[in-house]
Order: sequence, then structure tokens, then C-alpha cells
Amino acid sequence: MTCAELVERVTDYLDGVLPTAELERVRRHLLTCDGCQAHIQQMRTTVRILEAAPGPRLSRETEARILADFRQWAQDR
Amino acid sequence: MTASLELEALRTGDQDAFRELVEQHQSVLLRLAVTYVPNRAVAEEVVQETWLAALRGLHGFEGRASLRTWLVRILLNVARRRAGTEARTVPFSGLAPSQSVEESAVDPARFFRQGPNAGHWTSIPDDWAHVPETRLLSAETQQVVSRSVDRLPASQREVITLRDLEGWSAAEVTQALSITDGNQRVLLHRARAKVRKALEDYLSPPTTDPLDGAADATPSAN
Repeated sequence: MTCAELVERVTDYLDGVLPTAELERVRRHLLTCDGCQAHIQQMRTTVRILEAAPGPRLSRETEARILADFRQWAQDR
Repeated sequence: MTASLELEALRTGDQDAFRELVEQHQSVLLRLAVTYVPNRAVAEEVVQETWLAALRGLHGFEGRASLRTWLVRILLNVARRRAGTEARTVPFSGLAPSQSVEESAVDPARFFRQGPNAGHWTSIPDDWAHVPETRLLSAETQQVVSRSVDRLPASQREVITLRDLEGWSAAEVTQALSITDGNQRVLLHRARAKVRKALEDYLSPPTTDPLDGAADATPSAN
């Protein structure tokens, strides 16, 4: 397996869904390839930064409108 | 809260429980809404409309899917319909359903094209273990990441939003987006590859020739 082939399997590798034979080839490649190890580390870091992104919040006004819709809905039933 | 408890709270008209649900799901719904509509104000309207549609359709929801999966499906319908009426500001490229098959995760120029090392790195990727954690998690780095997510085609953006920004499982994402597992993996792979590239340009800018002047190597702050 070349590095160019390995980088296309990183997402499946990180998700743990590579077929056994493929996984074996990836592991064997990684044993001797600093470049691909660094690349995988970069992908892990990328995911970690994405996961750390703070989620957006609704404005107070919108939340109030949604709750008003709910009261109306509960009353109309 | 399990789906059945959530539903029970809704059906009994418990406003506190409902407010909790609205807060719990505000992030995922807003993130997906802004993929389709031109600005935050419209995105908030889309979320409001989604909750209204969910309440009205509650009797038809059987709890087989998770509540959040069901909400996302409703939101995407509302947002896509809304995008149709606000087409002047929606980036059309962003709505393209599929991408070219040959799209590579890493610029092919990074690998030797021929010779005994064909397919191997011409230069080893930077080790980000040396980047201080404070820099990795800084607001500026977050901005680089969020801008690169904003530029993704909608199909890739939906998947990376659910998988990485919101931390959903692959199975739940395929269900919410009605796509196959294979498709989900390809879209996630391409999306992550682009975000990684944006981070690399920011964290490890290519070393410039000394004759070009060092100023070019400094990433801009805005």
C-alpha cells in the first residue's frame, strides 16, 4: 500500500470499519511510515477541533416564539 | 431522555420539558439550517417552523427513529423548501448533489509520481503534536475550521456537521439524511480532508523561499 492509497482509507480506519485484510495492510504500512502516522494524527486533531466547536444558540426572541407556538398548540388540541 | 419520555412530555403539554428539548436540539438544527438559508435570522425562522411542523405531526411519529433524527428530517425539508424561495443568496455549487469521483483527500502533488518512491510522501506532513493546545483550541483556529465547513458542498457539510460537530453515530446520520452508509463515509472523508487542508494551511503554512520574504509565511489573522 502506498501513502497515496492509505490517505483515502483514513476515515474508514478511524471509524474502525476497514475490512480485516485492508486493516492489516494499513497497520503494516503505518509501522514504517512517519508521514502517514503524522497524517493520521492531523486527521484526529481535525476531528478533535471540530468536536470542540461551541454550538450556536437560538436568540431569546426565537425561543420565546417557539414556546408561544407550543402553548398555542397545546391549547388547540 | 429516551424518545418515549420526550414524546410523553410533549404530548402532555409540559412546557418546561418542551423548552428543554428546544435547547437540547438548537445547535444541530441551527447548524443544518444555515447550510441552506442566507442568514442567521432566516435560519432561526426555519428552526421555529420545524418545531411547529413537529408538534403538528407528533401523532404520526411512532418513535421508531430517535426524536432528533425525525427533527432533522423535518428541518431539512423546511430549509430546502425555504432555500428554493430564497435562491438569490444560496450558493448553487453548495447544493450540487454529488462530487467528482476522483476528488483526492490530499493534493496528489504531495506524493512522488514515479520512481521507486511512487505514491509516497515527497515531504512528511507536519507533526501537530508540537502545536500548543491553546493554539489548537483558540477562537482563531475555530474560525479557520468553521469557514472551511461553510465552504463545503451541502451534502458534505450535512454529514460533517452531524458526525463531527454534533458527534452523531454513522448509523444515525445515514438515517437522518436518507443516504447509504457508503455514501455517508465518502462524504465525511471528503469533508474532513478539506477541513484538514484548511488547518494545514493555517497551522503549517508551506515554507516560503527565503527570497520571497518571510512575511508571506505568516497566516493572516482575520
